[in-house]
Amino acid sequence: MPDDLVLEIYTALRPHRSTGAELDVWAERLELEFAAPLTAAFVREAGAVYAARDLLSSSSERSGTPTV
Amino acid sequence: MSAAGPRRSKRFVERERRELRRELLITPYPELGLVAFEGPNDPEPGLRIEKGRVVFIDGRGEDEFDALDHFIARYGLDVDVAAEAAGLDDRQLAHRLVDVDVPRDELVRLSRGLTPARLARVIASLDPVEMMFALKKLRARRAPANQAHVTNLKENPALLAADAAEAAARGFAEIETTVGVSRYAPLNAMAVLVGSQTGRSGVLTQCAIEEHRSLQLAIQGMTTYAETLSVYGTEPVFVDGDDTPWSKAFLASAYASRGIKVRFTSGGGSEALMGHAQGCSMLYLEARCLSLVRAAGSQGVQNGSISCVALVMSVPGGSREILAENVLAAWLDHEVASGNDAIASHSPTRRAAKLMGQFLPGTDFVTSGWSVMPRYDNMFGGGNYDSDDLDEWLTMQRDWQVDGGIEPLTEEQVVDVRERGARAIQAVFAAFGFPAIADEEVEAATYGLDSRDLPDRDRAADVAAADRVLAEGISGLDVARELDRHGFSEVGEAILGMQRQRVSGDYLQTSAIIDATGAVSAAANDPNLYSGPGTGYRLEGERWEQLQRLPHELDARALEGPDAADQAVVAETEVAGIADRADDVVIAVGPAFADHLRTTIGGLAHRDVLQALLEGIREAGGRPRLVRVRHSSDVAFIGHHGAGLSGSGVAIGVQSKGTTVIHRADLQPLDNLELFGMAPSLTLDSYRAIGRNASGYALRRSVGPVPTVMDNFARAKLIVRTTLLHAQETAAIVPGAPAVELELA
Repeated sequence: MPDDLVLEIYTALRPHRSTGAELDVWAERLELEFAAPLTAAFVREAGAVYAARDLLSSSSERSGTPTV
Repeated sequence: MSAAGPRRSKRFVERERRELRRELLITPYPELGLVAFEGPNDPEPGLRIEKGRVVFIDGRGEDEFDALDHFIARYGLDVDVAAEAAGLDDRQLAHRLVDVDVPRDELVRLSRGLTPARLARVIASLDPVEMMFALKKLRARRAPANQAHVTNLKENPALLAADAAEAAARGFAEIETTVGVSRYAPLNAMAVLVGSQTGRSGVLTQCAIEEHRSLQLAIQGMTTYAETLSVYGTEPVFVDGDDTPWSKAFLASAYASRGIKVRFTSGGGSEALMGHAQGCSMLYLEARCLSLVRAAGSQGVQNGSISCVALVMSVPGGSREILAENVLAAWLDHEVASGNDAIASHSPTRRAAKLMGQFLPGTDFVTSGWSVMPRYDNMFGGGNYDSDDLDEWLTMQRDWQVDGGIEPLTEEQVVDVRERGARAIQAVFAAFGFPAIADEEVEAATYGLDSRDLPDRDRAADVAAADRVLAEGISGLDVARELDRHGFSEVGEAILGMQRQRVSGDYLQTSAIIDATGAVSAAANDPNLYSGPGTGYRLEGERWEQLQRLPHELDARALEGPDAADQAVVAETEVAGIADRADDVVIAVGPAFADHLRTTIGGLAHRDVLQALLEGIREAGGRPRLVRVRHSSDVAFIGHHGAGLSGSGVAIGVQSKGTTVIHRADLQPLDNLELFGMAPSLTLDSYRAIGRNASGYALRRSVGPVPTVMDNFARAKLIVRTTLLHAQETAAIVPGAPAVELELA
């Protein structure tokens, strides 16, 4: 995985940086482009907790209970 | 009414002026998290697992979990061990922590089944010495080490490289730098990399800056470790730190994937300082941090309050709480860099007392930043220990026979390595076309005290060069190549070696440090297996020889060399008899006086001392007689024996080191008329006055004691010389020999 991409995903995971959909896109890319299903699951899991704890970016959709 | 208030005790006023009193001590304010242990909102420990899934931690069910709970539930607990750990009560767990027969591995295994509140409660049940013992047992790596801080206010690259070179040569295993202006980071990282590898290859380096930029520098090979991955014990503070457990864990993995060693940072007081302690104690919140650090897969942590140390120490039990944090981190199998970097107190006494908690047991890094330069240039907020304290630190290692990770060097060695470091970075700057480092900068960096001794640089040009490092992707490999091309092939080779380490990744293991041959020493291959006296790491053998031998240590045998025995001062005439004249005053000297030894500890020539005594006795009407006592070196017995020979019954006893007594024959030997134990402060006038008083006693006059000066530090200063001089006096004893009469030669 290129260095730039690593830095981008890190930034996307910081609080209030991404919408749930944006994190899902990262998860899909990790799965499909980089064959990294564990990391993809980790990003999805973050998305669920962020939604429950109000840590997504302001334009995000909100959901109820996280599914970790 | 008087505006002055009640009358003050001068002792209280005096104490208020002490350095210690500049800092505040406060009563606990638990609602704000200003409490070391047992905060009002610390939950009861609790853990519930349903179908292999953690659904309840410390008072909260899954639906109430914050982000930290979620992360710890998912990654931070071993559900298989949890049931076993739940079967042990706090006392049983605490006992195992200090039981030499329970191995570290077993304790680490059990810790995986304990929640933050449980961990905090068990650790809190240990007293300070038990904590120190547990820490000694739980340290991950066999031998302790230390980390240096290297910065300067001018961000001068030559000075950074020189300080890094000295730090490396002194044995620091890691060196951390930081920036005043963040754009300087690439240059500071480069200067510390080059300097460190000049001083000793294998030293790990880092530059503490914003996470994203820090990772970027690491990827370029300018640093080899990172430790400022800060975590906090409450969710709002965590988010104010601009991270979540998931982003922090991802970041740690990102570093590791690029071959960079990582440790997290946490510490008591940070949540209170940042306004969201949620009514919890410092130790409980730190336990949450440490559980989370383990859940994130980090090999280690920098903890023990760190930058909030003075806040923690403002509340009761502060030092104990900080030590508890370190023990907890080690219990959770983390490498521990145990603070002692930020200024803990204005009081050196209090700083050293706090330090002992980590210094005596030994941690993976006894300090997480020992300022190699003067405090003036420390940009980490002061530096608890700095270059001025170096001899103190080395002496404490020597006093306790404890390895604090710093090696003594001679001035010549330090000057040499500093210059080589500064020259190497000068060559690198020239090779990349960065603003030149002048020879006068190299010289000032080599010999100067701090950055005020260095000329100002063109800061705009320097930051432009720093930008180029990032823009052009100048790497550690490029630096190595340029060093090799410009006559610094050894340094280049060492930097290349560090890039190789990143590829092999052995130093990502817990508690890893790298020696000068490139060999990694970590918990995996060099574990702490302490299991009681005689086991584990002990400072002994060659290493003990190295750490005990300080450059300013004196050879005791050289100290006692005989005084120049050129001209005789006295001549022995005949065996001394008892005089019958009532004005007879004996001056009884010790066995070596004016013979093998010639001066007092205060530097007075024995000849002059005798002259002064003789004059004093004569001035006051006595008739002096010189006698050498040969059978004793003790001033009381010399004096008392002289008194027995004296016609008046009064004698002055004088040891070679100058200690003097006025004695009388009818007194017990250890009693006296006047004793002058403060030999170093006696002058020839004092001896003359002693002579006069002796005459006064002999002639039965009323005598006021000779005034003497008290120097309470004389003993600390001179006890070694006193012992050596007294040993020589004692060696000159002739057992059973009668006293002899002397005359001045």
